[in-house]
Amino acid sequence: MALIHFKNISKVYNAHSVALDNVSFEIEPKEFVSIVGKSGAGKSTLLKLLIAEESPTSGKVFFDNQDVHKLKSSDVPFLRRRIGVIFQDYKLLPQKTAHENVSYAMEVAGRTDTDIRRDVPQVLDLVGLGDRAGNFPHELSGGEKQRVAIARALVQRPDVLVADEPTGNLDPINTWEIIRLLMKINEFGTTVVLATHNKEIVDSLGKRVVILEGGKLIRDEEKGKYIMA
Amino acid sequence: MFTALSRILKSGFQTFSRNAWLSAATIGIMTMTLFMFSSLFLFSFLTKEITGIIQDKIDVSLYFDPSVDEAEILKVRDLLVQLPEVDRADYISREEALEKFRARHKDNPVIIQALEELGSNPLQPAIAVKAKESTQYASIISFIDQAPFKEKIAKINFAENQRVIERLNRIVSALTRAGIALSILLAGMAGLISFNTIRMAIYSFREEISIMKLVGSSNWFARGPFVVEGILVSIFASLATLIILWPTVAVLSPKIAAFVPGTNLYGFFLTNLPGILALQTGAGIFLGVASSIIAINKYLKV
Repeated sequence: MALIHFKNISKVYNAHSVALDNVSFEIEPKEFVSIVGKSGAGKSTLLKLLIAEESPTSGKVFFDNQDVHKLKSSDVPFLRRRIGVIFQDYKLLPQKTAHENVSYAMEVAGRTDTDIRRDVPQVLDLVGLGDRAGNFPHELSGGEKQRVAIARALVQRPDVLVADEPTGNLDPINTWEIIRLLMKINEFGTTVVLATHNKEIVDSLGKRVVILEGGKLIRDEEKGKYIMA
Repeated sequence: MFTALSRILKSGFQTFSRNAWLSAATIGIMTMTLFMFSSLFLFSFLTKEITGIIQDKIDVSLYFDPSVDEAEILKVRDLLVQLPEVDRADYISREEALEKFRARHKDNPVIIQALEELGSNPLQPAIAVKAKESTQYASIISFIDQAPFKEKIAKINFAENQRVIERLNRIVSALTRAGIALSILLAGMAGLISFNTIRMAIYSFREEISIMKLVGSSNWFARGPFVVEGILVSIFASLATLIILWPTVAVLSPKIAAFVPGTNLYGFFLTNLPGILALQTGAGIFLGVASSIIAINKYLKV
């Protein structure tokens, strides 16, 4: 049974701006899928539809057999706790330390203080930031910020980790560290959906590649490469 | 439930203290608003006091012919006291009137000398009538006009006072109406300024609110800390208002008392201190919480 199912998804902002045009594909549990395409191809829109940040013009998005856009707004937070998301601009809370940013994700989910005290240092160690727990985001480098964001996503023990251009603002060394971290997370059994326009990364991964262009799905291959049409 | 509440409280205190400058600026604006509220409250007390004092000074005197017996005058006084409109009716004998007259003009040697030369008491016995409301004098006078003891009265000074009384009545009612209108206007303006300040503060947190939502926070868990912050701002603003208001009232009160004897603004302030504090804190919290909730709703739709 597919974990994520995009079914005939279209998203039209206005007559001149069609973000997605009848896109359908499925993602199985434990898969590592790269969604690639140029800026404006519709990658981010697809991910926003998955976490119910936006609604499709037509079509349906299923997560674990649940139509995401039929959820009551009070149930949306529960969906988001099962889907960890990391962004190009990290989206860390600037007034909270690395430790607090990660523990916030557990607090919103109502996890106990005991769990928080146990899990947060563990997951910060996992991303290699055990010694930066007390630092605020403005005291961290880009790569470190993105690793805090990954730790925040992981600490929820999500079914899927969705990464929207996670390396867009990083130098090559940090880029590869983040990618290696995502692969490690996938090896531990978490589904990873990576949206990127970085050809080098996609070609070296040797995993499934879904290519979008102008809002249309033009290629979907196991062990694919980033091939421009 | 309790865990969530304590986490919201903690987060609220954190937002408040880690954004010290923003908090201080918001407290400043809120303090001005609450200062306005409390000043208007004291002002309305003061107008009531002053109009009361002025009305208290109005009376109507009935002067009797010196030949009329004291017993008869007292009978008239008893009649007047029974009228529902009459608050007080005091008999002033010729001797008392003379004493008062002397006391009033003791610094004027010409008048005193004139009095000495006259040799006898030129003043008439009188009844000073005080109505419960300053608007009731007309009906008291019409009662006296139709009463059988009318012919014993030499003079009523009402006609002279009438225009003053009427003008005073107009001033009093205009002052009360203007006070209410001004209070509503100023309070509304101050409230709007506070609301907009809080809206701007929340606007600066819009990114964070959307991040909270994306991480899986419920609406209340995202909103809560800002509501807590709004309450904290209000409490601090209320205390700051008190710190400014107290000495202001202490300094102004004797000056107002010198202008309108009989008022005691500072005394009123002190006896009603708990009430004023509760009122302004309550108004502040209502304003702070309502503004936060209204302002934040826009950013929760993520």
